Amino acid sequence: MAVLHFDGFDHLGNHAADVDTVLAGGFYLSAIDCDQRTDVPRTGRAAIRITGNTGHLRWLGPATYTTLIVALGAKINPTLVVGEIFHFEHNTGAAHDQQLEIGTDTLARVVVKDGAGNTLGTSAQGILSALNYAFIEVKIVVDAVAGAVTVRVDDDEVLALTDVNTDQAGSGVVNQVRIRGGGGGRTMDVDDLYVADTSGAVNNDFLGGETRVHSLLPSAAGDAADWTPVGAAANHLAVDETVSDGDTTYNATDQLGNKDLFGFADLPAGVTDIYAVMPVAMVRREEGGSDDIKLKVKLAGTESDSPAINLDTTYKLKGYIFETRPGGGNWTPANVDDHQAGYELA
Amino acid sequence: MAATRATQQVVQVLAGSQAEGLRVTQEIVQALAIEIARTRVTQMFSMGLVAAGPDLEWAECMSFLDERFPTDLATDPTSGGPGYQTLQTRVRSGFSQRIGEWEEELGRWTVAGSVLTQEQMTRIASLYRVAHGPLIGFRFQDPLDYATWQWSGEEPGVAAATDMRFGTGDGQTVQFQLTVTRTYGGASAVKTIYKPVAPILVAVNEIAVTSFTLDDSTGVVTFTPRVSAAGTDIEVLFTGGKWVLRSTATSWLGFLAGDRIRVAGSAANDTAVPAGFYTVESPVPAGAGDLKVSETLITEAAGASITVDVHPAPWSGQSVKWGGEYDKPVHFVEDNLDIEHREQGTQFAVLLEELRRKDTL
Repeated sequence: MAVLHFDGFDHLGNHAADVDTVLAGGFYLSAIDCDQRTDVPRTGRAAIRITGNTGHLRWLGPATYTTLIVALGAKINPTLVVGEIFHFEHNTGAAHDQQLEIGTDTLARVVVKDGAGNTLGTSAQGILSALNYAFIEVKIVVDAVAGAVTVRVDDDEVLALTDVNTDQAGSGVVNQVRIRGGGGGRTMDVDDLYVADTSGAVNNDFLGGETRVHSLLPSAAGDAADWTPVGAAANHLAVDETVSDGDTTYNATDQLGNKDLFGFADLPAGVTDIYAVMPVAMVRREEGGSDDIKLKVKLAGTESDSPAINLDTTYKLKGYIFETRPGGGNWTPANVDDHQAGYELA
Repeated sequence: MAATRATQQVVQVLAGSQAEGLRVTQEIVQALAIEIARTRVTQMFSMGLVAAGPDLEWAECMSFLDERFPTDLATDPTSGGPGYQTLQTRVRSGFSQRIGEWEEELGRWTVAGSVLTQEQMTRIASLYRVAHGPLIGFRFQDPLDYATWQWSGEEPGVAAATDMRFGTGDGQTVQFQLTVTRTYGGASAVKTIYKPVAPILVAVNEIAVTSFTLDDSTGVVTFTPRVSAAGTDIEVLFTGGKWVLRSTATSWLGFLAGDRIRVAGSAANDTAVPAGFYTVESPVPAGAGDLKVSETLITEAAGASITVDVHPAPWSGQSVKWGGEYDKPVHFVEDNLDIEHREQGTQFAVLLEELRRKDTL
């Protein structure tokens, strides 16, 4: 796998907890002191506004990484002050050891500091501007001697550090990124986030510049409708809301192997390259147990399944990233327009 | 129907002690089983991670002509206004999904004129040629959206420094981007102003100030020190239980109690005065004398080349407002300028489209 997570935050309800998304394998995205804002999206329906000194998005991976890439659209409000954007950390379970910090200053520079707060390097002035989205891409190599940091803003490389100490904790790895934008009287709006590493055959470096996340809703029945719709006339109509309606409309089953598949709205015109597709379901068990769900995509008669993902008794977003289309090969816009996605009780 | 797998069965009998006359009054069968819990899915969507299309501020380094479209032509007649780009999808259930592509409006106008004088025709044709048609942007005064007082509810035609809030001080930030906020009920929409018309008025904490500079090519206001003092007669010393900046000739006129000041320079003995921020305490001398500060200045030095100025950043929580006029950066849309010659006069119509910030720097 190379793309480890992405989110456009377009599907959320009005609760910060709705950000919480669990992917197969234990990838996790959570939010503290964040608000969904539909008035400031970079793309799509909404963005996340991070506020306060404690506000942050936290991505926790299932493994540790020596190289990690994080990118997002970020808009700092109302003015640029000294503040943080990224914390790269090693979450040991007992502690969150900070390896690297990347932030801004009043001169609109990108500032890179080590885990102890010592400045490792700064970009030129005027790289960022308040109240405007910039697409910031960061790649770090964790090493006490040969550490490296590359920062790109709106497709341009603005800072490249080599042979710096990016291993303040001494563990040689990171597995957690906190995205912090609040504090110091400012807020930060975040949209179109992705996290990647350098493994795998595809998507194993910067994804070629500015990226977007398009969220598509079910628009038609697919090839399977085994689950029972409740509160809606058809399966796809029970799960097609922009913001989850909880137990008002839903599909339910207690039969292993039952699956639903749906058709989705097309991508907007102009999309050229698809890096990955992630079906996401907001799902819960009615009572305790150990049942799982598999997320599915189907294209041209071929289905691909995620590994089994454990369920909770409260609604949680469960997702899985398909970097290649069913049957193999890179996704194309036409593939996305034609694909079906759904889920199966496993 | 729940699929149930029984792994243990227990039969319990509650009975009397006598073998004969056995009465069974209750029978319980307990099954220890694994049951598949009913599972609910309430929402489903599919996300695509895609490359940005070529519409994301791709034209970064286009030239800009800092001249205004003729205002006498822009009002006779002009049609058009703000626009947004929205992707709308209505699903079969009737719900609609609307995806806003633009955070801020972009304007588009048709300017048409008739019975042009030779001088007017020459101006519009010259502008079109200088701009190389659609290539180079220029200023345009939107007749319906060109001044802060149009949105502040204040007296029409009169700019006030408190017309429009565009920032809040934090004690550190000295640069603020001009904006205009339009409200309707409790909602508001912010538009960034990149082409203000100098001069403008600025207020901090509702009081008009002049200690700022305006970059009218970007719309960035930079606050400058309200008052400064520099001299070789300034020394730093600890006296009367307070750290003071003592001058014998340099005046402290204009400094106010509570001001956050910056001190920089070198003392006569080449010991650097510690640069930093200090807070002025009262009383403040009207001329030369002792300027008391709240914090420790650390180094006691007899001065040479010491500079003291009030930190220009608005204090934390103070409102930052402005008033004045602004243009919009636009470009011609059409590749050809269509001027029609008739016996009655010369007519023309041009389509103008607003530019984003990066297109105009």
